[in-house]
Amino acid sequence: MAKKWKRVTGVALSFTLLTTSFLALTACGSNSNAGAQDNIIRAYGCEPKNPLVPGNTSETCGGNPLDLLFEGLVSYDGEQGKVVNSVAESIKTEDSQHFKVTLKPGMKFSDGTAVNAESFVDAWNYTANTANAQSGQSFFDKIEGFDEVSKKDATQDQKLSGLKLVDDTHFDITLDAPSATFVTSLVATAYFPLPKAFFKDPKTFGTDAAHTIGNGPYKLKNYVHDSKIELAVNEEYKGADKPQNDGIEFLVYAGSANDAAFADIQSGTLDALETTKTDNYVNNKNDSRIQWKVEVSNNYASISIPGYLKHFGFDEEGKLRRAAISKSLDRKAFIEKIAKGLAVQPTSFSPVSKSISGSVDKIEGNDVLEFNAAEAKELWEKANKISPWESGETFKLFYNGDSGGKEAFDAYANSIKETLGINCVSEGTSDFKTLLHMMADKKVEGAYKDNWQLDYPSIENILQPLFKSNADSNYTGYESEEFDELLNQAAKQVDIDKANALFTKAQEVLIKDLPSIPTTYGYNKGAFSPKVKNVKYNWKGVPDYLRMSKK
Amino acid sequence: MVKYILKRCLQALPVLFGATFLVYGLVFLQPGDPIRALCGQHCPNEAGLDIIRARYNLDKPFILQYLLYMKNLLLGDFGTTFSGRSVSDIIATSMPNTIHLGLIAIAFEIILGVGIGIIVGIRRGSFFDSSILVITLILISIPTFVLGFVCQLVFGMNLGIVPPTVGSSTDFEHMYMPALILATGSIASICRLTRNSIQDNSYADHVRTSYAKGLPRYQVTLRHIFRNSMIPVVTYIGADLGALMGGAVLTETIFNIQGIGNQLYAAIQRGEGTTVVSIITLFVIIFVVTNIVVDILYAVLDPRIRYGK
Repeated sequence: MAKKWKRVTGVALSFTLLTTSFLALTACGSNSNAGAQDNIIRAYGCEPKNPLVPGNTSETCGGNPLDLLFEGLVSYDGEQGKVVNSVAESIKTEDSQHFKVTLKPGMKFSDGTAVNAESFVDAWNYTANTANAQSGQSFFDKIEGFDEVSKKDATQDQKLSGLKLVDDTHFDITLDAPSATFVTSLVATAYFPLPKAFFKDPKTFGTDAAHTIGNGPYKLKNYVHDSKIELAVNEEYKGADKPQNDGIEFLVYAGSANDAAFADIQSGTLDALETTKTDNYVNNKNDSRIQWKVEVSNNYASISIPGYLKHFGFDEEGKLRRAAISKSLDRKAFIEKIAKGLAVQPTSFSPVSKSISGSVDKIEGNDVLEFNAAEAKELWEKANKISPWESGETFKLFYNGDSGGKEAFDAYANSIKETLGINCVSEGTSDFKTLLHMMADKKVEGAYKDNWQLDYPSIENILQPLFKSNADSNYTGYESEEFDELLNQAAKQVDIDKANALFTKAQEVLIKDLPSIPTTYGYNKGAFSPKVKNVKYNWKGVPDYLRMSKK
Repeated sequence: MVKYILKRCLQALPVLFGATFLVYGLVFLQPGDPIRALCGQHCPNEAGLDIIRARYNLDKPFILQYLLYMKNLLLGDFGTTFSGRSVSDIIATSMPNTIHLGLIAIAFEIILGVGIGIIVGIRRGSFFDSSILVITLILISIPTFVLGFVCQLVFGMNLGIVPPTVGSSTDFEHMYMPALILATGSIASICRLTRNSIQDNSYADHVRTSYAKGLPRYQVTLRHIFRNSMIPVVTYIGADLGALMGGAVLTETIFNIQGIGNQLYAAIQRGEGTTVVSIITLFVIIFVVTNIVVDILYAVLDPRIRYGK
């Protein structure tokens, strides 16, 4: 008996010893990384969904590092509100359909190889080809020959006929039809060049520091999945965008760990958090440990009402009901109570900003975006005369429940319910992919939250993909000959101002039909360390990390 | 004994298959198209999407998908994520962080849970005993995430005495608060279990006999009360190892610990069947193994229990 007891206590004793020694060991190994004042910006990051390949990245986790690791033909100067040349020396056109591109000589990738016309032509051909299944494919749909390379049975060696290599620093682009905003659209990540190394081994490119080669102001120094993406200054870079810091470290936060990132801003381990929750801002507005940067974002925000919904076809009845719904949304009360002042009343189909070429604060007929209970009721009654709204019918507002839209959509639903006296409820889907699937299959049984992030800084990027007949993201099924014609006319212009005037006219057609009702445009609520200087947003609503400095 | 262990391992097989099948089915039944969600605002055209779907066997019927997955799993291939990373790599890099967290949590459970439990078990009825009873009741009732957020806010952000998040620095200084929070519920339960168990045993016949034959009090307590009292506690701690893995999903998200729980959460969001099932399979294996170990420990602790006869 005694022997056995010894054995048991032996086991128990060694176990406790093990754990306590383990605790002691780990306690000794602890160190703190705060204190040192360097000029490296530690920024909020998240794990990219794909390897770091520009043509296959359509989300910000990968997009933010890529925009610093690569440089395209042109970039957008948000302060002046115009496109400036980057790798391109010049892009010439006489008809907005044929473009002659000249590159600056002597530009290099971080591995020392030249950035030449081939780097662009090969990259674009690769991304456009269906066989490579790249998410940036649709960016090339304006280029001649896209129909061929995007066919179901396209083979990898097929090339866009609209791209012609002239010599090392020259290539020509031919579009299917004129596009006044084509040069502006070239700022998008999908148009970045790719080095020879990519085509040797496309599968491993962008998975680690050794296999990520760009031509931007930074190079990838270290990429630890789920942990951090470290960028260092690229010595091979000869362009104009010289970094004002010694490097950028994207610290990866998993899941929806925005709260964890905010905690790190307060404790000083993180320098830049591009946006945070409204509550965090309201509750910590005067916290001296935080440098706030709040301004209107460039995202379009709306409730779309699909045309396949009963009572909401794109006819007289649908028009009346859409206008009635829009006028019954008490946006002012929403901005004040729910958004805590961090949202603005829409006046057109985009926020007004220098970062959106062609955005205007006045379009004819925009009074439909203002709350007016009496008129809303009147319009609704008019529609009822065409086809009555039965008492048992419910108007549903869908939103994706994973990004905190409940408060807003409950408020909208209440506003509609009270103004029109109809049954209106909000309904959250479990996540965005569920809602997207319903939208794509045209199976949403109500209106739905429809937000849009710009791919290039032009109003066209809202009007064309969301509202042109049969466009990629036109999930409402909206079709208007007049609207399409205005967009086509605008595309033919060489002068961007003339094009923008036509876009405004197109908006005025759109606001009569209201396939999608602008709600309120939100803010970027960025939190930064007080140590960081020169905090600004670029046209994408992403902090301009390159120009930030701690000195 | 060997025969018994073998039998238990064989019994674990249907559990493993059943669990993977169920989980794979649940992920499959999730609404939405994961491939379309992967590319978000921009996607390749339908033909391109089909190429990606074929790459992950998503174009095949459910049963075939599952069988193909299981075939690869049995060959030791956990598959790849939608971003092209190998799942075994992800497990290899994130699992150590979770084990680290779990070990610290278990250490807390043993030191605080068993320690306090023994003290209140011996000094039953005292003021200390009743206050511990009330405190443990409160701790058991507070959900992990509430405690997590509150502690992060108070100790991490407002008082600044502990780092509010873990991130990539997984040393003890960063880990102890999340581990303590992860362990809280179990500490309270173990404390109560130990206390009750000691109390029950204090009135057992053999204890009374020991006193009667003149053994000193400390020897009775050590030899006859503790040893018997530890049987349910050991079982509980063993079974808790699995529960800690599940609880880690919440704790890891709150404190941004780059562990397996965070990976599981992200994979569920992405609708990535292969990753979810691989991680769950691992959890099931851990569960089954710890259960077998606990059962064997049982026999060691309690000579009345004999296996393999």
